[in-house]
Amino acid sequence: MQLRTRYSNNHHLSLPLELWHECLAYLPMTDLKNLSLACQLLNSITIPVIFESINYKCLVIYNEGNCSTILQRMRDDLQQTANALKEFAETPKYSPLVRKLTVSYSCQVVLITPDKPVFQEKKTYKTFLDAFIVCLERFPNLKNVEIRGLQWKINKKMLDALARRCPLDAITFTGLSFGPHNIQQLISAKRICIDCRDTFKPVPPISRARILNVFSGENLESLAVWSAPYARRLFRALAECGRLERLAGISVCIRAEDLVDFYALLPSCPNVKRMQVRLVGDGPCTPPPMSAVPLVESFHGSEEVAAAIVPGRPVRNVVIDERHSTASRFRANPGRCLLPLSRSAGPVVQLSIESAECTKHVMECLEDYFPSLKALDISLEKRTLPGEDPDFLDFPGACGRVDEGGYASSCADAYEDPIGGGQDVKRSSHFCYVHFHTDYFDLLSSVAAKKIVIPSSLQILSLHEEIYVDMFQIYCLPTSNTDEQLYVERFGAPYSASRAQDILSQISRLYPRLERIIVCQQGQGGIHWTRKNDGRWSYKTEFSLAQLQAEMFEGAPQNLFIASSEFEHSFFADTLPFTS
Amino acid sequence: MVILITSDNVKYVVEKDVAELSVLVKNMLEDIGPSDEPIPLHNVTSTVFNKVLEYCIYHRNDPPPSDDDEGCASPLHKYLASHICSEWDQRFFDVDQALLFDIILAANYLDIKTLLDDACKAVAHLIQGKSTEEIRGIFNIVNDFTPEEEARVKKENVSS
Repeated sequence: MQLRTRYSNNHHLSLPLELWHECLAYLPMTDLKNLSLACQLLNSITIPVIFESINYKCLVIYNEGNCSTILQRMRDDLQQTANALKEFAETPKYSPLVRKLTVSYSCQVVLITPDKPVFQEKKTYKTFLDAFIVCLERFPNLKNVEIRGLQWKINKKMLDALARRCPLDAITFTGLSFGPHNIQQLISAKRICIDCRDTFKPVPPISRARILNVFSGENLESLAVWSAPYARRLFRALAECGRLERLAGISVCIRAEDLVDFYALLPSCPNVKRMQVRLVGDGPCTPPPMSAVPLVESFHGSEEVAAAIVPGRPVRNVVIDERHSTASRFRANPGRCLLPLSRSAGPVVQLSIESAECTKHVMECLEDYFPSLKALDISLEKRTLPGEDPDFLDFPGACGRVDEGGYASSCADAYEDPIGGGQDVKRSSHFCYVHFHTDYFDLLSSVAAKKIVIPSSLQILSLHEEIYVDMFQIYCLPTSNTDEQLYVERFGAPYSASRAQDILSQISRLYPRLERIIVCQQGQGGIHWTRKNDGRWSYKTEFSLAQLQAEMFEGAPQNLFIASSEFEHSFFADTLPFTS
Repeated sequence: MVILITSDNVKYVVEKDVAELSVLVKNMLEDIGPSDEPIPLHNVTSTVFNKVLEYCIYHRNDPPPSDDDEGCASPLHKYLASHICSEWDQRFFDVDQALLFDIILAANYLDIKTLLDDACKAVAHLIQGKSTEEIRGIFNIVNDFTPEEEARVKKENVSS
């Protein structure tokens, strides 16, 4: 689309639309909103992005003690939001923009006299339900619906409205409860997800119905049931649906005693390639029949289930999570935990194990069992080689110059930026070096010195730490030499950039296939070394300092990539007026 | 060596591996075969091409971006899929908005995906956390809303 002809001003902003979209993809909703108010051209570019995903919340707390005017005002506000949403849905210019609709409803009534009937709630719910149904009917390009936190059983009207709107690409139910529904038409979508994992909310009441018969298996490509009670009920219903030929991914949280229902479904899902299974509670985990799910390529989940599924199937990617439940087993006998995975017909080329630590023994098992392993993600254990000072390790067979010093004599040395931009960076941005260069380079030194052997086929080595956030939270950024001294005492002396290059080039000589080394915390943030074509290793770090500080001092990291319009009245009024 | 000529007739002699970071140039070289013919870059001026060349020379030894199409749920692969930006890149993109947009257009025309991604990220970085007024200032934007619309903008700014 040529924007220049439609808007007379601000020509200099005329990038092709798809290039603007590339840029906007990095921005959160607040920034998009500010951008949309800058001028008509930017408004026309951002509005479709802003309304691609709509979030309609109906959240209210009624207190019986509130006077009637307050109650009336609250009800009016909710009605106004609902009306605004309906008006939006009926505007032909905007309604086609919406592809994803997220609705959430929560209405709490604080009662003083417990016997008094609660009538307000029904009215609020009806307002919400009407607006939701209008949206389903009026958004012609709607592909994705998420319903969350109803607190109450999902309503039959809601399910019927969804069924009428099917097939959709994806439907997600978060934190809500199903009853023994008897709906006229089954709900059909490519991806269905029932998620009751939110532990902060009370568990929704579970109906006594034996099966959950509201979904059709017809278009189903991916099924996720993060709720042990519903998993069993849904599997029983789907097992009667005939073959689920398109189903390629199953994610489930299930009790060991319910595995029999799960296994009963598997023969009708011959094309499943990705399985994610988390076992709840204790119990024997028997393997399914060998003929079931013969094509599984990726497994993610509990270690016991991995041992039942992976052997004999063509599994190439394995992720074992749940650090806390498996850590002791892995520590006691890593070989016994890893052996079943090595019996994959795949063979396994990508392996991520939260609880396995990169000790000498674990690495030896990996080298023995997984001759084709290309990517490994494993926990970075502290003090990998107790009693050995990495400072005095020799590199057998190292050619090139003799290292002098090894460790940086002071923090200042560590401030030399390995990628060559050290002069304008300030003290605090080197905080990362102080910490990181110590722990993981101790390990890398041991690898370079052949004290620890890593699988020779490895291309990517990722080391994750779970505790560094705690460590960062104890302290703030170093602001003085004394501060730095404290860090060095706590975390050890940092490695200098040149020493880091020496260690890495020695590792390159021993492991010519290794291309990347990543140090991160549960896959987020961290440090990223890449071997360039000329043999040098270059260093990148994901966190900007501002982001690091925000994470350290304000808690949760900002997630920049989730953009969703909050469909509350004020936002609606603010953003829309300029597009007519 | 490859000879490239920008739209304002400036001639560049560039090493082949650097020039071939541009998929457009790479394809043209494959089409014409071994030859000393200069390759015209119609949509790029020398001012912009200087920057593009600086980027390509610095990143010439980078391994090609890995394909993460396996759909594996491992944290490792999610991590690799997310883009990261070095300090050199941050300094490189510290230019005025007009040049930044020209770099985006040139990267798109020359088909250099990493440069395009990084430049788009730099544009996003300019916008991040800024108010509407600040955005207008950074991008030299003329406020072309009508007075009624303008009034609502102000009302919005008060309420937020």
